[in-house]
Amino acid sequence: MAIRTLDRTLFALALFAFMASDPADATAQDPSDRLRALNRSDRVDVTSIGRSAGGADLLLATVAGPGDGGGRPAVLVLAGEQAAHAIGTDVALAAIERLSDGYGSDPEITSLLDGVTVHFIPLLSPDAERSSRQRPVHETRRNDQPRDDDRDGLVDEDGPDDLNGDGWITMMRIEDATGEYTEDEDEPGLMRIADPARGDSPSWRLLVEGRDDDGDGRFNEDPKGGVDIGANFPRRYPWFESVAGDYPLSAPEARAVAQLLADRDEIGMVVVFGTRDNLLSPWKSNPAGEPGSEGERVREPLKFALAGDAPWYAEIARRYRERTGRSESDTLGVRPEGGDPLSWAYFQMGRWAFGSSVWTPPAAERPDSTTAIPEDREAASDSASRSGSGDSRTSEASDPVAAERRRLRWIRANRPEDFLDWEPVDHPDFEDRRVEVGGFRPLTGWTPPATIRDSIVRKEVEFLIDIAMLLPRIEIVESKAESLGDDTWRVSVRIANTGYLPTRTRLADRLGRPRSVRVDLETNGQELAGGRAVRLLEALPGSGSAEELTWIVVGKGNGRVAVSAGSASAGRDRKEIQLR
Amino acid sequence: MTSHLNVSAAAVNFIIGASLLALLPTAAWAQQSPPGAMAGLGAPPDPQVAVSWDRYFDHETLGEIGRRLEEAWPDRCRSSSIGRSVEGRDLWLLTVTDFQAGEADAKPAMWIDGNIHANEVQGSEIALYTAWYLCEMADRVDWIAELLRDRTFYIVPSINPDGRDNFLLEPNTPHSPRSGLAPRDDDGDGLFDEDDFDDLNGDGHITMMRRRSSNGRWITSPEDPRIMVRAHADQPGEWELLGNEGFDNDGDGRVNEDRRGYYDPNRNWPWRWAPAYVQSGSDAFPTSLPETRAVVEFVLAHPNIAAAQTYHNTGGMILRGPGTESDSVQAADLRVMDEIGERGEMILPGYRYISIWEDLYTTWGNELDWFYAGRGIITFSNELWTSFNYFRESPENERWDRADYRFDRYLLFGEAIVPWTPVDHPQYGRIEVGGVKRQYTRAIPGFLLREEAHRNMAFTLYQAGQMPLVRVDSVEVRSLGSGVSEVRALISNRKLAPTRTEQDVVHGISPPDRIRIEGGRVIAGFRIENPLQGIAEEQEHRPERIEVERIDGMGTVAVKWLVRGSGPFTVTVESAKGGKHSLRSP
Ligand SMILES: [Zn+2]
Repeated sequence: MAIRTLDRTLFALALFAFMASDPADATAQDPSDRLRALNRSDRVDVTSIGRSAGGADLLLATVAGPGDGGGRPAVLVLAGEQAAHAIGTDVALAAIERLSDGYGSDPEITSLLDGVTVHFIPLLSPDAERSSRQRPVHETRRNDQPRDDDRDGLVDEDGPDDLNGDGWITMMRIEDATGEYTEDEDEPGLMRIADPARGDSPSWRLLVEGRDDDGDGRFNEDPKGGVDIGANFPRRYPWFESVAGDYPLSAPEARAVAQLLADRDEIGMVVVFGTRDNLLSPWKSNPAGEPGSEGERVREPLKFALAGDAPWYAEIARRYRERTGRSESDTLGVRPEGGDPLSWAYFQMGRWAFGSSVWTPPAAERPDSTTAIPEDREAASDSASRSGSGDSRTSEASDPVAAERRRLRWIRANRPEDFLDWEPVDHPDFEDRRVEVGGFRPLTGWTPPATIRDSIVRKEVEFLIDIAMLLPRIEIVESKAESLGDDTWRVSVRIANTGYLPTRTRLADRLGRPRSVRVDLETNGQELAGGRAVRLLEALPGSGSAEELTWIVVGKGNGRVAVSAGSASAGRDRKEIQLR
Repeated sequence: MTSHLNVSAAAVNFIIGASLLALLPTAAWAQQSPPGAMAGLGAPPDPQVAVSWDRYFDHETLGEIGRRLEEAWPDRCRSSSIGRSVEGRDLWLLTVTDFQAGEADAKPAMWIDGNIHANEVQGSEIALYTAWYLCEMADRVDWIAELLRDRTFYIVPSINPDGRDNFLLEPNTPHSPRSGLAPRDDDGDGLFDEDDFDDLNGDGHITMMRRRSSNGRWITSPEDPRIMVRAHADQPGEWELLGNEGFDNDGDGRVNEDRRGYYDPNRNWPWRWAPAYVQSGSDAFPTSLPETRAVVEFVLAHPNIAAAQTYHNTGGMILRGPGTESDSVQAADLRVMDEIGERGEMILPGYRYISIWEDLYTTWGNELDWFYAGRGIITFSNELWTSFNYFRESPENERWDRADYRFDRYLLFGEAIVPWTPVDHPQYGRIEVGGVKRQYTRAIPGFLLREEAHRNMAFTLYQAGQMPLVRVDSVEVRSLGSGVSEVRALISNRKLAPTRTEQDVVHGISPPDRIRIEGGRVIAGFRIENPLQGIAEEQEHRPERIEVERIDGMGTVAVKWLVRGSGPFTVTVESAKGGKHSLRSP
C-alpha cells in the first residue's frame, strides 16, 4: 500500500485546479483524457463499460482500498449527462483524485476506502461533451445517434447556424407582430412570451440562431445527433419528445448504466452531479398518506418517496445545505425530473439516491409566475437547457422566466460577457425583416465564476465523502448461547446497523432489490429445533438499531455454531458461538 | 418416425413430425393428388411442405419448418433471425409476401408472434400455420395471392424459445414456465434458480402432491375420484394437498420457491413499464431481456408494420389495450379495433373481444400496449383455446362443471390425467402424485389444434386485409393558359384502417403521408379541403410534395398543383404504413 505524501496531494490539487474546465472554452481538455490520466494511481481502476452512439468509451473509474474483490458495499457517482453541466464532471474527477490521493494519508479516507468502494461515471454523454467543444459553440444535450427529428426522410439536415460569425450559437429574434414574444420590461434583453391581457404587444418571433437549411419553413428542427442521456431513463420517461429517443434506455450510454446498477447489488447509493436536485429540495412522502400498506402492492408507480425513507432524504439534504451554504431557492433553474437517472435510481432501482446541481445563479429576488413557452419545441428545450431553466415540460418546471431573469441579473452583475447583446444580422430567410442575434452564451448556465469554482467543487467533494461514510454497516454486536440443559441451547444474537443509513430503502423492501440482509445459522452437527436456518431481514434503520434473533439447537455437535449476517450493500459480519 | 409418414398419400413431399424431419426422396410425388380422393376445402391438397398440425414443435423444428418453407417457396417465404435469446437460440423470423411484387419492407406489414409466455405454446404453431397456409394456398385462392402481392407478414413463431424448449422437453405443469430462462434470484437469498420443481415419480410431468391425513381438508370427488374437492365445513377430510411436485432443494423451509427464470416477459416492455412493487415480474428495467429488445428494435426498423397480433393462451379472448386503468385508447382507434374485434367474435366462436385492464386484469409494460401506444400500431392479442370448446357450450350448462375431466374421460379416454401414484418424498414421507399433464387445459388436444390454428389465422388475415392501402385513383390535367396546367389528383385508402392511427398522428410517430408530382416545375401546391366546392389550402413550402396527416379508413384526399408544363405528370402517394402507389396522367 503506497502512502502518499502531503506534497503529492497538494500537487494533485494544484494540477486539478489547472485542469478544471471552462465548458465554453473549446480548447479545454477532453474529460475522458483527464480521467484516463487518473488511472495511474494504484487506487483507481478505469475501464470502459460500453460505447456511446458516437463510439466513445463510456468510462467507469473505480476507487477502492486494497484487496477489494468486488465484495464491499459501493457508491455509484454519475455526472456529465449534458455538456453544459461540465461542473458535475469536474466534481467527479476531483473526487476521484481526492479519494485516491487521500488513501494512506488522510485517515478518514483510508478508513472509508477500506470498507466502501466508490464507482464513478464522470461523463454520461461523451458525445454531447465532444460536440460542445466544436466551433461554433452550440449547447447540445444530444449523443451522436443520427435522428430524423422532423420525420422528413432526411437526417440531421437542419441544425443551427452561426449567422453573425461570432463562434456562438445563441438565439435570434425576428421582428414580427405574428410572433409571440416581447422584451421583458424588468430585464431588458430578456425575451418572454407576451401577455396581451396585460397589454403586452407581441412583436418578435424567437428561434435558435440559424437558417431554414432544408426549406421546409422550420428552423433548426433537425440538428445533428439524437438522444439526451438525461432524458432516456425509464422513470417518468418523456415519450415522443424527440431528444428522449425512441424508448427508455434506447441510448447505449443509459443502457450501460442501467445494466451496471441491475447487476451490482453492492451499490447501495447513487449520487448524481447533474441538472436535477434532491438536496436543496428533498423528496417528500405523500401528504395524502402512504400508498399500499406494508407488503401490499402499490397500484401505480410512486410519485412520492415512501414515508419510511423521507426522513433520511430530509436530513441528508439539510446537511448538504449546511455544508454548501446553498438554499432551497437555488432550485430555480434546476431541471424537473423525467427520464433522469437520479429519480430512477431510487424510484425504480430502490437505491439511496442523491442529486446535486452543484451551482445555479444565486437568488437575488423572489420568483414570479410568468410562464414562457417558445414557439418551437426544439428551441424551447434548447433555450431552456441553455438557461438551465428546466426542460420544455414547463407545467412541472420551476418558472423559466423567473429563472432567466435571475440568471440575467446575476450575469449583468458578475459576468457580463455571458449575455450577448442583440445585434442585427442579414438573414436570407427574412430579407425584409429586422433580425437580431443574441442572448445567453452557450454552456454557461451551470458554470460558477472561476474565482469560486474550486471552493464549490471542494465542498461537493467533501459532501460526497461525507455521505459515502453514511452507508449502512451490519455488525453482530452481541451473541450468546444459553444452556437449557439436556444438551439444548438457546442461541441468540443482536444484529445492528451501526452505519447511519438504513440497510436498504423501504422502497427496496417492496422491490426486493437490492437484496436484504440475510442471516444464516451454521450448525456443526447440532439439530436445529427452533427458528429458521436462513432468514431475510427487512430494512434495519441505522445509528445502531438492532434486531434480536434466536434459535434452539439440540446436541453438542462440535461444540459451536456460527451466525453470519449481511448483504452486498450493507456489509457482512460473522460470529462463532461456543456451546457450553 | 414412420407413424407420421404416410407413404401412400402420394402428394406428400416431406412430413415433419414431432422433432424429426424426413425428406421423402420421391419429389416426383409432389403436385399430384392421391387417386380416388376429393380434397377438402381450407387445406392445401398437395402441400410442398407437409406438416402434421396436431403436435407442438421444439425450437429446432420450428426453424427447420421455416427453412423448408423457404426452400419450397423461395418467392413467398424467407427465413432469418431477428436476434438471440438468453441461451443463444435464434428468434426465427419468416417474412412472407410475394417477393416478385414490390419490396417486402415497403409494403404495409403485419407482425405476428407467439409464445412470449413459455407455456403458451400453440401461438407458435398458429403463427407457423399462417406462414405455411399463405405459401401453400396462394396459387389456389385469389384473395391470398392479392394479400401477398400487397402486404408483408413478419412472423416470429416464438419470442421465448428458451422457455418453449423447457416447457416441451422438461417436466412441467401446464402453467410452467411462464418465464424465460435468464437466471433470477426469486427468493432473494443470493442463489439463482436453486429450488425448482422435482419430477418425483419420473414420468416427465409435474403434477400435484397429496398426503393421506385424517387432519387434511380434502376428499376425492364422488363424481370422479381423480378430482380433489374440499370436504364440507362440518365434515372431516382425508387428504392434505401439498402443491406441485417438488421438495425443498435448498433447505430454507420452502418448496419450489426459486425456479428457473422467473419473470414475466410480457411485463418487460417500455410502454408503462412499472417496477416490481407495482408489477411483479417486470424485471430490472424495460427491455432488460434480449428477446424483448430484439422485437423492439425490429419494429422500430420496420415502420411499415401497420398491424400486429401476439398470441397467448388461454380463455378464448381477443384482447385489446390498454393494460392499465389510467391509460386509454384513442376514440378513433377504438372504432377500428371494435370493427375488427367484433368480426373476430364471429370467426372465433366462444371468443370474446375485450379490453385487458377492464375485463381481465391490470398489466403494466405489456407487449400489446407498446405496439399500440408506443408505436401507433393496431394490435390484438388472442388468448388461444377456450373451455367452450370442450362441449361447444357456455359455462351455464351443467356439463361445464369440471368439463376438463369429463372431456378427458369421454374424448381422450383418460390420456390427459396422471392417476394418483404413490411415491416417497424426502421431506413429506409417503405421498401420492397425480393430476393434469402439461399437454392439457392450455395446450390444445391434437385433433382440435388445426381448427384453432385455422380460425385464428382467419381472424388475423382479416385484420391484415384491412390494413391501409393507398392508391392514386385519378390524375386530371387542365390547361390554364400561359403554359400553366392545373393538376388534380384523388388519393384513396379503401380499407378499414386509416394510414395512421390517431395515436400515431397525435404523437407524431410516423411521418405524414406524402403526395408527390413529377413532370413539370411546380408553382404552387394545395390540399383540397372540400372537393365539391373546390376550397383549397396552399402548402407554401415544398409544394411538389404535399403532406397530409393521414388518409382515413375508406377515405380519400384530394390535392392539386399549378405546374409549368402540359404533362404528362406522374403522381405518387407514399405512406409509411399504407404503401406507395403512382399514376401517370393521360
Ligand atoms: Zn400469456
